[in-house]
Amino acid sequence: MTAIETGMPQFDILDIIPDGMFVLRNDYVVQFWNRSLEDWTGIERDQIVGTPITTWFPRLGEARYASRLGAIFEGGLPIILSSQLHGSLITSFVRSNEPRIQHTTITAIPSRDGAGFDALFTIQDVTESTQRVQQYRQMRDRAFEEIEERKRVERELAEANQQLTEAASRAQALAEAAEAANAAKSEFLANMSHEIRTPMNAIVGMTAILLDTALTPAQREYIEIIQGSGDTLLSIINDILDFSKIEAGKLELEYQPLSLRDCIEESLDLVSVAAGRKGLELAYLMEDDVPEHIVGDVTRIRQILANLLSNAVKFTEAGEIVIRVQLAAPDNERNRATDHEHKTLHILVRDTGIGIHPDHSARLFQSFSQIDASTTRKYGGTGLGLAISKQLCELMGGDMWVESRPGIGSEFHFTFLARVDSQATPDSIHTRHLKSTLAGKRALIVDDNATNRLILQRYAESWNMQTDMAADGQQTLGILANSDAFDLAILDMQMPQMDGRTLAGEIRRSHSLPLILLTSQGLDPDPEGDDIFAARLNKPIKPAALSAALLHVLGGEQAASRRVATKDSSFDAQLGQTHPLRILLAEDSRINQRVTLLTLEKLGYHAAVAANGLEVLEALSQQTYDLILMDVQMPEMDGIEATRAIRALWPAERQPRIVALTANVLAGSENQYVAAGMDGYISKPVRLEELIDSLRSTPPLADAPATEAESPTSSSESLAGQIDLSQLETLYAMTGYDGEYIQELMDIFTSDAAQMLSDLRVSAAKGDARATERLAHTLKSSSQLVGAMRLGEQCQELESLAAGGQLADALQRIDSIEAHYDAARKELQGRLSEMAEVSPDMQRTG
Amino acid sequence: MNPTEAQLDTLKEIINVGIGRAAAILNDMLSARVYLDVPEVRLWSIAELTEQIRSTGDDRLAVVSLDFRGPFTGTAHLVFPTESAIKLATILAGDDPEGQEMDSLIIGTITEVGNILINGVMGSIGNILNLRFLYSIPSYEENTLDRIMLTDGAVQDITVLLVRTRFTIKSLSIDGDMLLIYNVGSFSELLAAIDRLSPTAESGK
Repeated sequence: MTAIETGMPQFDILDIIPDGMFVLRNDYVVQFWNRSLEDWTGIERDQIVGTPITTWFPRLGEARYASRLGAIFEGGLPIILSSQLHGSLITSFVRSNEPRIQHTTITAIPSRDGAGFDALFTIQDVTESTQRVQQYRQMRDRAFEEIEERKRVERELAEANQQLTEAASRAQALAEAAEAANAAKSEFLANMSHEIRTPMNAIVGMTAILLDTALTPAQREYIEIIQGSGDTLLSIINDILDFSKIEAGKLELEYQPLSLRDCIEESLDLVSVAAGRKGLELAYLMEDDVPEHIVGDVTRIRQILANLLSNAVKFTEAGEIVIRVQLAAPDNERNRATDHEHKTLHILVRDTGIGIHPDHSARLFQSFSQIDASTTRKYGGTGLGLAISKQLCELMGGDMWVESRPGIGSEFHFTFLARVDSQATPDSIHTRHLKSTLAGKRALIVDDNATNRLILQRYAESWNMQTDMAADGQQTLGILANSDAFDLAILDMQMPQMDGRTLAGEIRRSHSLPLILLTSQGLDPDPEGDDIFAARLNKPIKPAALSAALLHVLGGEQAASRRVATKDSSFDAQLGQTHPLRILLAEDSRINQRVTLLTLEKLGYHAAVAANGLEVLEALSQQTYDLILMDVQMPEMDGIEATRAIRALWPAERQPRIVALTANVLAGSENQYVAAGMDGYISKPVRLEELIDSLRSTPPLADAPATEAESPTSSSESLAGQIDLSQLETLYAMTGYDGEYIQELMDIFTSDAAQMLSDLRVSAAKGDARATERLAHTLKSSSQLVGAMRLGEQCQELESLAAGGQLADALQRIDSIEAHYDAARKELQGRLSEMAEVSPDMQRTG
Repeated sequence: MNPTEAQLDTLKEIINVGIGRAAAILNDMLSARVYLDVPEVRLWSIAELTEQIRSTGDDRLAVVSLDFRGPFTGTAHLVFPTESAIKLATILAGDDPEGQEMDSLIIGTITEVGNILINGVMGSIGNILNLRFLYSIPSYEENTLDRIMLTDGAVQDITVLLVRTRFTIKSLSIDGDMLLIYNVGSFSELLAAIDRLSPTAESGK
């Protein structure tokens, strides 16, 4: 105890150290306990000093500590007890209930009694620092994780970006491929169109020519089949092209004033023969408020109508096909008219055919879709017609739909937006005359078909006529027996029981009233035969024809002259005489040359031929032409280029009319032709009517027929005396007076000169001074060689100007050169003939 | 002066006793049994030692050092190859060493293990040879052997006593090398002490 007491002051210094410290004697009795430990454990120094530590902290009595502590008590060796392996040796709950983490170092201090060592325990509380380290570490780990996460996200982003970039470039590549494919498709279609149309031209053209020759009935029938098939094939090709154009958004509408009535009647004409063969009634009815004159694309409206009508005829075995034209109701959702000038027209085509099941009607307007494959086999067709028609309607601001009941029939409706043509003059005088003649007259209408009766009634009443109806012969005779107040009767030819002709015979027995026969085209058994009928009308009933017939019957007008002119489908062999033209045909295909030439011959024309643009220019430099029928695609120089050259190089008074012959009917082509300077185009295969139209609309040039000696730039006087005879003599002598040889030379000169003149025009037009100089020089030399000295002088002048880069009046000079050349050529030919006559002896000796 | 065979044998015996005591303590601390091979005891020049350690390919080492003063003065180094240190520390601290990070785990644990081993050997020398030393507190560092030796202010031609043993914990498939290096200025006092012990040493045989 004394030792402790005396030792105590030595240890006091340890009280101020923040570590826990205590001293153990080798018997484990506590010698010292510092203030930090009092704070940590709540055990006062006075309580613990002098007592064995193991009574307070039994853990230190464990054997493993005994063996460790032996080293210090005996040998003074320091001991480390790590927090990692021992946790807290001295139980302490400072600041929290968590056990403390302690790091203990035990060092030796010499024992008071001199033997061995006491052990000084120094306990560092590392709980807070460990926690701080742990927190730091966790933060670090979190930061690390965040960094990793961020890296991962960035990686994913980069990958996504990469994928996006790849996807974008793939999409780009696909789009480019698609574009290329589309371009290739258009190209292909253009080519295909050209390739198909060229032989088609031959087929259609030759067939028409063949039909104009003497044929046996069988031959005629076969050829008509060929002609029909050719027409069909053409319409299929046109369908496909139309469809491609619509698909590509390249179809442009051509708006022009048109008569809706004419348009409908023309459409009906197209199917009237086919309908007549099947015994189908054709009719149309136009409501009074429908404007007859509108501005629209007549070709497309007719195309839609023709398509619907041909379908109707195709799918109807018996009954009728009726067109009805009306204005779309103002509240109709399909009515897109926004002002008074524009109207939405609503046209429906009704048939009594097989009808369409509702399930199928949606598919009807899809491309390449007929109702099913068997339909295609039975009725044929590409299945494009309705798809095209619907899209055309949409292009025209309308729509197309179908209402149908299987077994009953179909109604195809379409609408389109049209502008009322206020410029069109109503046929007021004619109408007034019509009304004054027909007003109050009484007509008996006999037709078994109710629609036709209704239509006839409508028209007659619109002219203020009175009408009575009969559905068959018996009824008619009954009505007539009771009344003789009728001014005329209109009889339908095709009626059950008693047909129109029989009925007419019956009527004639007791009545003398005028009779009008209503018949389907091709079904009149004796079209010109008897005169029992005052007039004949073909179905469908057209108001113009009807009114003409009525005027003829009631007003004494000549109905014959009003007879609707048939299309000018026969050759007019006199055209060449009545309308003479100098025609140049530019066409590289020999077959097409032949077809067109033959066609022209049938019309009384003889055309010159050029196989490419260069030949055209050459031909044109030789002679004036009124019309060039110019194939667009030719080798060497195509039609476009040739046209540009002609328009640039030839004087205005010698400019021919140029009409393109083209198999390329894709959108944009026409503009290209017009831009090049062409006046129009005829698409191949060449249709006779189109050709005749072109011929008729070509005026002969004013100076026709131009003689080669005449030149617009020089008078004939000034052109005389072209040839220096002495030079010619010299040349003649040089050849040994060989007439044939000199003729050959002259031929070469003339053909070379013509070529050079043509080339000169091109080079001058291009502003190519060097080429002009060179050509002028060459022409000068050869001119002088044959003695054409004045021509040579002209060339010399041009050569000098060109050498100085002056081409301002080059074209006029070339005209002048050409005039001199023409004169020189003639003179040369004359001189050579003279020489040949005067020197026969010389010739023989040579 | 070079030690005789007899001197080395005695020294080896003394060290073996100390290693045995240390092994017993380690066994207590671990539930698994730690085998420490009979140590190889040699005297090396530092150059030889450095060459030897380099040949093991272990450049970086975990080292626990204990300075001592007394009849002779020096430093005892316990050197673990890093690989062995990590294995041993992980085993000793258990699977979940209270969430502590590896560095502090290794430092704390290896320092204590080194303390036990050095104390075993030093205690054995002190007791058997009846020599008394004063010790500093053990320290831990990770470094190359060259640097450890240089920080001791040692010179290249100094001789070290190398005690090399191999520890094996069979149940855990762990083994490793342990080097105990005594870097002492002169071995004369040590050898003298051994010589004084000779009769006892001989009788011990």
